[in-house]
Amino acid sequence: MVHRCCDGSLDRIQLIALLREYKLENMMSDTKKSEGESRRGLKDDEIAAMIVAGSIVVFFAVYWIFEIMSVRELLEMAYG
Amino acid sequence: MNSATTRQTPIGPYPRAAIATGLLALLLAFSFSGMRSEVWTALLPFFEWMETTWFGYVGKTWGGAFATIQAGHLVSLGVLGGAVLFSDGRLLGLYSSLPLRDVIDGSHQVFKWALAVVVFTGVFMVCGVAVKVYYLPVFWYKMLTLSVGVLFAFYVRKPLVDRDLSDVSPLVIKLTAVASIMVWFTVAATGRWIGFS
Repeated sequence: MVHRCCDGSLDRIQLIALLREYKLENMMSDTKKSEGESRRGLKDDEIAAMIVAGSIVVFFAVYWIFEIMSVRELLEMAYG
Repeated sequence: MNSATTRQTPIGPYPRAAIATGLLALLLAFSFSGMRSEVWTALLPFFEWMETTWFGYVGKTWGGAFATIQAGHLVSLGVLGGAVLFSDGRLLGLYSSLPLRDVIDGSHQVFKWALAVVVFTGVFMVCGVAVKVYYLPVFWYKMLTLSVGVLFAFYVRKPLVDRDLSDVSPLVIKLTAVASIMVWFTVAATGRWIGFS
C-alpha cells in the first residue's frame, strides 16, 4: 500500500515536472517567436523607410539640380 | 531555424516595404502614362460642382470669410511645420536634452490636429476658386506632395519612430527625418506658389 502510494506520488511529481518543463518550453518558444516577429517587423519598417525616404531625397536632389541649371541658363541669357 | 523567422505573408517577409515599393512604382507609372491626363480631364465636372456648393458660394461672394479661413489655413500650416521641424529636428540630434519619446509623441498629436485643420480649411478655399486651381499645375504638385506626405507620415515614419529607436539604424532615422522635412516644406512652398499663380 505504502509502496503503491509512494510510487503514485513519484509519478505525480514526475508528471508535474514534465508539465512544468512543457509549459516552460512553450513560453520560451512563444518568447522566441514574438522576438523573431518583432525583429522582422523592425527590418520591414526600416526597409520601407529607406526605400520611400531615399526616393524622396533623390527626387528632390535631381529636381533642384535641374532647377538650378535652368535658372543659371536664364541668368546667362539675360546678363551674358 | 525558428519557424517565426521563416513565416511569410502573401506578399513576402516584408509586407510594408513591398507595399511602399508597389505604391512608388504605381505613382511613377501614373505620372509617365496617359492615365494622368485622362484622370485630369475626368475631374473637371467635380471641380465645377465644387464651386456650386455652399462653401463655393461663401468663398466667392464673401471675401472676409475666405480671408479668415485662409488665415486659419496658414496658421495651421505653420503649426504643422513647427511640429515637423520639432520632431524631425530631435531625430536629427538637435536639442538632445529634451526627452526623445515625449518630443516625438507630443509632436505627432499636434501634427494630426494641424493636418486636420489644414485639410478642412483647404477644401473650403478650393471650393471658392475650384476651376481656377484646376488649371494650375502647381495645385496638382501640392496635392501630390500632400498625399505623399500624409502616406509617408502615417504609413512609413510613424511605425518606425514608434519602435525603440535604439534598435533602429541611425542612418534610417536621419534619412526619414530629412525626407519628412523636405516633403512638408514642399507642401508649404507649393501652397504659397498657388497664391502667386
